[in-house]
Amino acid sequence: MERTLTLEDYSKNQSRRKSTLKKYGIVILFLLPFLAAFIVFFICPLIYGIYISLTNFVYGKPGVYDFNAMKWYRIIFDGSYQPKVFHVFWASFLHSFVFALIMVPIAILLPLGLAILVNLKPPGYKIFRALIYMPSIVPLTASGTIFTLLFMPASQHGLIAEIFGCQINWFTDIWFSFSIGGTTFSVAYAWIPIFLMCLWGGWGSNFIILSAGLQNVPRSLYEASSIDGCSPMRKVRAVTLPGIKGQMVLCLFTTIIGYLGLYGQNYVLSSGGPTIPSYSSLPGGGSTSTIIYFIQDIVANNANFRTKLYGLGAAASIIFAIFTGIVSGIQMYCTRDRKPNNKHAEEYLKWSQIK
Amino acid sequence: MVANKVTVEQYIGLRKSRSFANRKKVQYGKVIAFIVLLVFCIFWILPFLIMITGSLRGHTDTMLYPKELFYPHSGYTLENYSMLLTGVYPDGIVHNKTQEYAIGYWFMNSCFSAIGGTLLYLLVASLAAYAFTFIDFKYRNIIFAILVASMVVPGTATAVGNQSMVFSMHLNKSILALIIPGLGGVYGMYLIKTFFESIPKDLIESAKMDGYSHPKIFFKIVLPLGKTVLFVQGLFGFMGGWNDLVWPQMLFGTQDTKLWTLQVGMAYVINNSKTSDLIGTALAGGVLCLLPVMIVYLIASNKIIEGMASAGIKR
Repeated sequence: MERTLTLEDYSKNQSRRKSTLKKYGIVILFLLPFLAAFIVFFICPLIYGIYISLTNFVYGKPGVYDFNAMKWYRIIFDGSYQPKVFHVFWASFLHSFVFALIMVPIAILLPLGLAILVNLKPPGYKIFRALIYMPSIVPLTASGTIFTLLFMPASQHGLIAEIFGCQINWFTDIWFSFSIGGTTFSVAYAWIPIFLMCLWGGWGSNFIILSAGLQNVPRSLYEASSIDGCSPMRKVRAVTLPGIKGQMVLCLFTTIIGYLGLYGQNYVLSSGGPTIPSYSSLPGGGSTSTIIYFIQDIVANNANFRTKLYGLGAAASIIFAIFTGIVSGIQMYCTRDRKPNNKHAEEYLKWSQIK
Repeated sequence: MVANKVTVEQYIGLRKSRSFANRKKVQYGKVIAFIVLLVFCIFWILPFLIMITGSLRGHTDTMLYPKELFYPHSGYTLENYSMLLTGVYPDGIVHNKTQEYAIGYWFMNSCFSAIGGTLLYLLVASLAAYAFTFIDFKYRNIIFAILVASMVVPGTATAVGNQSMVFSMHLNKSILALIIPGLGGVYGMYLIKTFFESIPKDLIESAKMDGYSHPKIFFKIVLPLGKTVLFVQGLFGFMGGWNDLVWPQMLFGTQDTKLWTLQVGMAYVINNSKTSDLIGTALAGGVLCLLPVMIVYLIASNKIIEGMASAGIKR
């Protein structure tokens, strides 16, 4: 009779236990599919990818492999180890970087200007908005066909060649080359169609986000500024731009990451080419190859590279991931809070609380 | 005092003229905006017109008459489409393709990966979003924080590992591999969760009082309320799945053409049709590739734009 349990206690205990089980059963039921997919197809591949980049992994033969003293990373970072592969990798990286540098300001400012125009609400502005966004939903291959047609060489009656009579082989000629410190860099004409293709369909989401941001700027601020006698330019500078700062930051970073990962345009239009003769047998050896093109050349497009250089592809993707991860980490840091980060706003908040 | 006095008539006249001037000024801005946008949009629509009319030309006059860009020399035909779909070419056309064009298979694969993948993802992600929003459990916030932090890592980092894993799971000959790795995507789940958070908690509590179980609440209350966000995320998912090139290429790029998606196949078609005779077939393929996305866009453009806008504002 030392351990007596009233019926009430027992039932309470039992029901609590049951309900815990039931609760966690429900949580598992709801969360398991997602978390399982996340772990199997995100965490595992991430770790596996790092493992591949550190070993003599051979594609298609899963198993345990020896570590190879960071061979693949040495190829990438040590210029004297395998100079040709080193050159090809960094040339691809440079292509992506310079292209993003040229493209990002355009892909922010052009949609910003158009968003300001649309936000004036001229008649039929909803149709304009839909039309401006339309090229961005076009699959890369579909827009690729259009720009292939436009820029075919004169011998094949390309549209630009026929109309303007220029004799350039857009996808195979080199525009100009220059050399810095003994290494020659050549810029291909093919960058022009790639640039135009990005200009046509590469910033639609920026436009939508910026015009939504413009609509969210309170009207009272505009009225206040016009009472204070602001000129229209001053209004843009003092009211509009601070009002859409959050959207601007978001667009800026997503665009940078997007164009650093340029792949489809140069694959569809020029296949990474024109190839540079001395690098033609290497992945990403063309003068329009980008960093993703380099990786994709190894792991997808060429079975020969895939068996020989699979670890290099993994290492390159890890390095690219660290690079873009830093960029989007900065973005997350910049947009982390919706607190008023303006000094004056904080002071105003304090002041209004005192009153 | 006297000098500053204004009669009522004068005052009204002043107000009127001022408001008139104001209105005129605003309309001036609108007119300029209208004209600029009109010119811009015509420019932006032009490639679509070139593509569609180009695909409707005969193969002999595809590009020979640049001035007749929109009115082909010998009338509109569907020659290019039949050439592409049947693979039967008229005499005198040289093409150097080494693999068969299996447009039907590609189309079906793309449909499967875009539609099936999107529906499955919506179910999985909204279940997870429900659990994160409405069920209290240990480590909930920590798990969610890990998921959000993982958005920093780009897809490239996991793609190579994923490819090897899919190979070692022997999925590399099945089109299931197109959709299953996408199920763990965090971004869509995050979007759905932010919407679920705006559903009042009291509603869920009172449903619990009435003896509803969690699955019943999920299917009877939360899903109907979350229709909008599911629709928007579904559209994003469909477009993303349809337009994806990198992952299908990684999986099936060097394999049997019957496993390819439309994107991979069309990239191959374009690379083999860079001559004046064959570019028409590439354009026809481009139109086929564009058609489903364009239909979805024309029906739901407002929803897509608003969804994208609200996703951008919320972040």
